[in-house]
Amino acid sequence: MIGQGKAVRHWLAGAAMVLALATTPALADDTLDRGVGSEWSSLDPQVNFDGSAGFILADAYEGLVTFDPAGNIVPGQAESWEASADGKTYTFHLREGLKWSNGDPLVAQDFVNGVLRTLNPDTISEKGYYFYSTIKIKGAEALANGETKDPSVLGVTAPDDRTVVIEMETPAPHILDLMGYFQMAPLHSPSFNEGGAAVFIDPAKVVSNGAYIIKEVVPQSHVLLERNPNYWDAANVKIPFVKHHVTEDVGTELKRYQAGEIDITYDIPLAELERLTAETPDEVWVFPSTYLIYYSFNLSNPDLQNIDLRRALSLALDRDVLENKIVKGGAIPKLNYAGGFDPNYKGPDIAEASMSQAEREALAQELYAKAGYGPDNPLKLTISTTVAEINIRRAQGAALMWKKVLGAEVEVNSMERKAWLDLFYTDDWTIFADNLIGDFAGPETFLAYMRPSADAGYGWESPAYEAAMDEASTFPDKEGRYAGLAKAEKILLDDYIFAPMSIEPNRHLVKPNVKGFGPSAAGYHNSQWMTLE
Amino acid sequence: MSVDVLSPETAPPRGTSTLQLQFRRFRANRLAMASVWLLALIVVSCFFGPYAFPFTGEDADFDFISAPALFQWPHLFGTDEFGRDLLVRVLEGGQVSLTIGFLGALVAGVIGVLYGAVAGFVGGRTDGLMMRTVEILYGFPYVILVILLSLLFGGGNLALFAAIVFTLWLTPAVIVRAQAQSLARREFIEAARAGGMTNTRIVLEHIVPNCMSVVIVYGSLLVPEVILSESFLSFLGIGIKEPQASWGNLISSGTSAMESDLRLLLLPGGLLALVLLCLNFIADGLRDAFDPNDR
Repeated sequence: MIGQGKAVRHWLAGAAMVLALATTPALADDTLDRGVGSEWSSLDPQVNFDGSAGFILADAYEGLVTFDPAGNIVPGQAESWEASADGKTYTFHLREGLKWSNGDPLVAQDFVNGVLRTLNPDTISEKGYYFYSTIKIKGAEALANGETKDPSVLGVTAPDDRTVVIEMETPAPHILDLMGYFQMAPLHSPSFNEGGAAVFIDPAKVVSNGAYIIKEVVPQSHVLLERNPNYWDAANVKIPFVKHHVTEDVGTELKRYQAGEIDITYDIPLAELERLTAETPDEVWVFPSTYLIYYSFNLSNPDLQNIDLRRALSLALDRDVLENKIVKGGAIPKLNYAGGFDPNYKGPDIAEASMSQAEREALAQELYAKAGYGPDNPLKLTISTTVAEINIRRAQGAALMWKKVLGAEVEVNSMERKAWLDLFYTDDWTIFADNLIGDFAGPETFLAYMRPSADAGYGWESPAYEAAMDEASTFPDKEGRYAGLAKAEKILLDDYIFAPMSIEPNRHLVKPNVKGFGPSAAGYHNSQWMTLE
Repeated sequence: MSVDVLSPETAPPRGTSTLQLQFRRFRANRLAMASVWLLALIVVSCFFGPYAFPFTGEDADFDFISAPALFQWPHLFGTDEFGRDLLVRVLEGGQVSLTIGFLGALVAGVIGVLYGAVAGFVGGRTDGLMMRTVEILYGFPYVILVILLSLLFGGGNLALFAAIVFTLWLTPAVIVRAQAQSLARREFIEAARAGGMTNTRIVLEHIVPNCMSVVIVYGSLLVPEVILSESFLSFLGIGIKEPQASWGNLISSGTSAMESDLRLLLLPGGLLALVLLCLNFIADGLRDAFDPNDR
């Protein structure tokens, strides 16, 4: 039914295009069509916490730095920067003559305003933790929890129109990873003050500073972007239009890709991955990402309050079989949380890692029985996941393993992505098929998110973890820092508040005529680097 | 064939009731009888077949994931992508689909017959009101109704069953109402009324039995319709939910692997097609047998 509606709309759009083409001289394809998976949950640069919308916002907004196709940090709105000797203060120098898309001059204060708005409790943004937890900017926490409304306490300042200074309480070698559009989008105060958060989805009013501007927003269909003539590097932006299509169903997305409607897909259907890799190896891109998958246990659920049971559930999963034989999406199974992204990070030693799967299952059964469950009194749980095929398949596989190893009766409840996101905060779930897209390929982004003070909503209290994280963050060098982070991770893993699952790779199909697409682990694929041949 | 049935050699002896006559005509229809036997075979294997296996369709065998159909014990038709036995899942799915099919048709039929009989017999303003209600319900978009009902019942088989029954009782109601309307003016109804029979008893003892042949014919067409609705809804993902199997969701997961492993689609799809064909042949045979004028 829904598909039909879409088809009609496409037909109409096609008809409209034919009409448009009839009146203008025939032109080559000047639009890059990209799939973004589920519908964007927000196009508000200070609020959006979603990877799908991230693709769109990456084109529309630019932070102090930006990322090249391989994911390396390159100068963005700032042309240069330097760090103080103690690693606590960073000074960014903006380019000369920066402009907003409407021609207004872009000044350093706009970046400060962006951070202030992210931290303001009224904005209800989940991204505040970047500034007071992932890196500790002075005054950020006080602003975020409403202790003060005074913007002058914030350690992000604009001494002049072309300088942004960031002062932190502790050194943070990873600060540059957080200076891109996702965290550091500037705020155009005149339009925002006039229209509030509604301006971000209104193409007539939105003002942005990236390579593209938002031209058209059609819910459940697409966002159309047009090249921004006021972008500092507009001369090097080759593709005039970029259309980000909602492609909720991967199978449908593949068909649209094969029909030429989409140039870069959001994902590849797992059942087709092998075949496509064999037939069109040039078009298949599978590379590691910072997408971590773990199954969170609801700590307010009476069953799951039992740590033995949580551990049993984690042990009972044969991640190798699950990822390589059932899901078959190229994900890398893992038993820890923050490891596997930065090869220099060794992580803590955990007991599970040295056990065979048979030993893990035996221990799982023992713990399950010890927690008071058995064939007469089976554990009943529900895994809440999105409707994405890969997630459903992983959840079904996990449910079958729990049934086989423990005898637990586990249902899979799949829902629209938005409903799934909302569900997390209702507490009306038992096992949440969770994921976290790290903001950079290192352990700290993941561990910082888990801090109880980051208010990620797990209901987990651990002063020991907080202390360990605080201690780790005092090291300015990576080596000492990673040893401290490993200690913190041990505390986290020993509480079994989730079952770590795997690292999901990025999977995209890219048409051979699209150049400038690269394997960026953090998933930055700005359209400005791409060309259509 | 009709000539055979009515020829003097096979003419029924005296005392044969209409119903017996009709069934005799039905039995003479070879295609319909073959369908009955085949359907019976499928029903029996769906309900008893899974007991022959040492596992259920919800038990995974992680050593045999996506095993091909080698016709070797225990995974005769191989396993699906989770290592669950395909044949057992298809049989268990058949249990669900067939149960919903027959039960749904029965419930929808009973509701429809009673509603139509009352409307047709009572007539007047009541009839108008009842039939307008039916027409309004006809106008309700089916899929939206199913979604609403699954929200109301919190999803699951009950919501699906309710939704199917809710939409499918309407047609029998209209058909029976027309029949009942013409019956209500017949002399024997007048006689019954003159004899002091209550309206309830007239409806139950005269109107309903006299509508039976229409109902049986229509009911037999209703069964495949219900099975198809169930499969259709499960295919869309708003019917029977994994891990419970039904033909609809088995076909749905089969289509997603269609290009790499056709077996997952062919077994449930083939069985569904076979059952639908059987039911339609049976319905056809019943119509021929019950309604000779129609031929």
